[in-house]
Amino acid sequence: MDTPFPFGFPAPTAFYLVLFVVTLIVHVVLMNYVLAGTAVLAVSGLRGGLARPNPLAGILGDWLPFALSGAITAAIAPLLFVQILYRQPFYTANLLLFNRWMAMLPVLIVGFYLLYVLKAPRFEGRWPRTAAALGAAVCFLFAAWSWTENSLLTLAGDQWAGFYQAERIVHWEPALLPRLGMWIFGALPTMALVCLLQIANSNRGNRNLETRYGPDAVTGTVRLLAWLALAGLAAAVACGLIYAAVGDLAVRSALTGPLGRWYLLLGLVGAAAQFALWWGLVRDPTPRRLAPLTLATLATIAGMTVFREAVRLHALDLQASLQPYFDQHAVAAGRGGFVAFLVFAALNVGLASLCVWIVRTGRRQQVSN
Amino acid sequence: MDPTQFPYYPINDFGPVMKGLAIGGLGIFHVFLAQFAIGGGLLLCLFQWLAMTGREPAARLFIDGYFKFLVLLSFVTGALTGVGMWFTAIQVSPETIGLMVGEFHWIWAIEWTFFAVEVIAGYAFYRYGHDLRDAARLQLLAIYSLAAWFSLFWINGILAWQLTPGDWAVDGGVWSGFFNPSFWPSLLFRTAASMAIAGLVACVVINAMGSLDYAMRRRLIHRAAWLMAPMVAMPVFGAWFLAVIPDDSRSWATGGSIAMTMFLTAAVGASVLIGGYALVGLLRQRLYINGATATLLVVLAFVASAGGEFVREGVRKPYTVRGALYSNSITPELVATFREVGSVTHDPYPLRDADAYPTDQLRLGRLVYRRQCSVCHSVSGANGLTHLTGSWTTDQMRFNISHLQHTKPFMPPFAGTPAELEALVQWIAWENAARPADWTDSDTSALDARLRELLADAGTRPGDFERHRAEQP
Ligand code: HEM
Repeated sequence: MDTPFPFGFPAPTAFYLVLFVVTLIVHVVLMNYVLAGTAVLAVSGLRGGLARPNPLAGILGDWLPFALSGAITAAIAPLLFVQILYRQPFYTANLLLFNRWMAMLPVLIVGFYLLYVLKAPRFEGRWPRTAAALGAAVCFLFAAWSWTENSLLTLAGDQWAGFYQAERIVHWEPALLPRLGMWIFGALPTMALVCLLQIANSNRGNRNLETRYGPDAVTGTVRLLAWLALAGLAAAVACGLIYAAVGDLAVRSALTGPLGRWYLLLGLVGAAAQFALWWGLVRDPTPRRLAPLTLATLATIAGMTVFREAVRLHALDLQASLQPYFDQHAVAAGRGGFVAFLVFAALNVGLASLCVWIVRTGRRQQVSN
Repeated sequence: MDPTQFPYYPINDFGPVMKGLAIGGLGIFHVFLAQFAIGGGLLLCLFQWLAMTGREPAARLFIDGYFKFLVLLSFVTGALTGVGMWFTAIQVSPETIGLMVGEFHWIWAIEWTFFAVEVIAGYAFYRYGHDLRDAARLQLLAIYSLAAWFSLFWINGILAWQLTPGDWAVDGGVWSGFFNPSFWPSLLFRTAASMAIAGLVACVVINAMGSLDYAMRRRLIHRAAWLMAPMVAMPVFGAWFLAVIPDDSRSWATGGSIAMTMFLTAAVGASVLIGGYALVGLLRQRLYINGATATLLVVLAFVASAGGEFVREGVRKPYTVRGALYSNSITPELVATFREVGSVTHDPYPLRDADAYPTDQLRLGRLVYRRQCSVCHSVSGANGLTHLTGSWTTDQMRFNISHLQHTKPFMPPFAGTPAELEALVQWIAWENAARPADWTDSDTSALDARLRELLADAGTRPGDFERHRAEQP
């Protein structure tokens, strides 16, 4: 606990921790897009914004189903590693929440189909679209709440027996809302960035948004995205401050100790850079400085994801020795298959790239060219 | 193992439902959808090839309609029921899924990379397929099918390992466990089943497509029916599977357990009906199949999958991982330890309804039931203990429960102290007596010698299937 993450842990533990964090970051990026994207569409619908086609609704409506598929597919890897890293607390929290936890799956299925409703030409019009967006947003907020609740319950070992006996299905603690708030508001800048990249990309391609919606609409959308990102960042920072204030000893240890401190700093520096860059876009709403903005966003996400892990490691360390966890990780690391994984992972990265290449080069027009 | 290190998890009450039914129930949906996705990929490759080579122009119309269906159903519900399987497995037996993840996480990780390719190729086709040249379409579909089939390949090894761990039991090696004796027969069986399901769903979709005239439909149906041809080999794969699984498991499905035998019969019966219709009617006599009949056959295929899944889950008993973990999550090595120290002595989770029991002995009995029996038995619902023991005297219960693994070898040995055994017996007797408000505890110390003798006679090893069979009238 007195060295920056993941140094200072035995090699197998450090190995699985890194894999977990890296794969979780991919999930977080896609999940942020879905969470913030549906929420923005819902609010926009309520304010009449879905009555007419507009660039943001067009992009989000088009890409949200795929992003959700991606978010879920990407989530399977951290779901695997979390079971190796924290088997007993993770399973226990799942079991304690029971039906309430399992409810997330049908809810996500409903959310998924609502995204298709949002896209289907048959459901054209303000109210069907708004209703679908609102329904989907509620479903994904429920999923986010479930994960935050589960994560916090994982760490509340002293409450498990009482929770079970009282047949509770909801876990509450003061840190829950600010922590959830950080995720929800923090999702806005990521969504804004991805949409911005999509706008920039479409301006280059033959599906030019400017010709479809007019240049003013696109500029307006970039400015809106910038405002959303700024508001999201400000609200997430506010939630973070509340979280730090109400947080327990584990949160305070992570704030001050070397394990997570530098990553928190990385996250904050990333957030400050994002702030400056988005502010620049408010003033001049043309998609630019995309690389630094992407770097800053990734720095924030990576920093906060590791910081989140530091809180968990401190909490578990405060409860009991971490040695049994280290022993389990060492046993898991002794199992074969890693080399095969690397080989097939490389092969499949190749196949996935091949799919992109096929789409890029296989268009019918190119034959006639 | 130090009993204080045993990972006690909170155990949920599924009411009148057997926990195995919960996982089996979701499993059916998931397996059916996943198999549809796998076979669907192959079918689409075939149809794309027919379309682009001019052999079947109408195939192109079909592909886009069918693919939408495939994406909407299998990507969405298939992916989420997959996660659901994981979550349900945690609910039913965290120790089992923990062992599986511990042993095979890299295999799962490999499967995940294939699943990711399946999603990427699938979406690429869904979004851009109509703009692409034929060769590009076929390439995307081929990548999609390959990835989907390989997902099956990897997961099949892990599931087959649970029943037939093979050399893993000796050397603990991942590959020894993965390429286990039932790996190939179950992979081939599932591949043939996937193709049949995709062919049947295609017949429904073709009938539902208003843009096709009768002649087109007829031709497409006969093309789709080719996917059902591998069903001819399914009896061979099935027999191969039955031949390599342990003798006791085979016996449960072939008469030893009424429920398992019924499920197997349903699966075989439904498959024979589908296979007969497909092979004789569609392929040999080139009959037409209308939407209603095709839907009926899809329902039958669902019944066959359901039967198969229940058999797969059921025949592992008394284990979830053969030789390594009993269904109630107690390892074979721990049985002797728990006989000394008790199975619930260190359980930190109290009863939720402690006040409902008039005595401490009954409370202990209920805890023992929760720990050792509740994964397969409800109290008075599905496979309910009150139904099963209703006609037993208290002394018969002492004998049969102490000798659990000999009473029925698909149950694990009783893993508790004499006091826990007696408490369980008393709790069942109390439930059988309709939970009276007044109840007098039995005198465990007076019975101690007798209970010890019974437990010693039963031993701590799993039941002997041969002995059980020899003792049957
Ligand atoms: C749109 C749907 C989803 C949303 C909005 C969502 C949201 C979240 C959030 C907010 C967290 C962080 C919780 C916290 O630290 O307070 C999280 C973590 C996580 N999510 Fe998701 N999630 C979604 C779907 C899924 C699915 C379907 C899976 C599984 C396949 C999944 C797997 C994970 C995992 C493994 C973690 C880390 C858990 C831990 O560290 O204890 N997520 N998710």
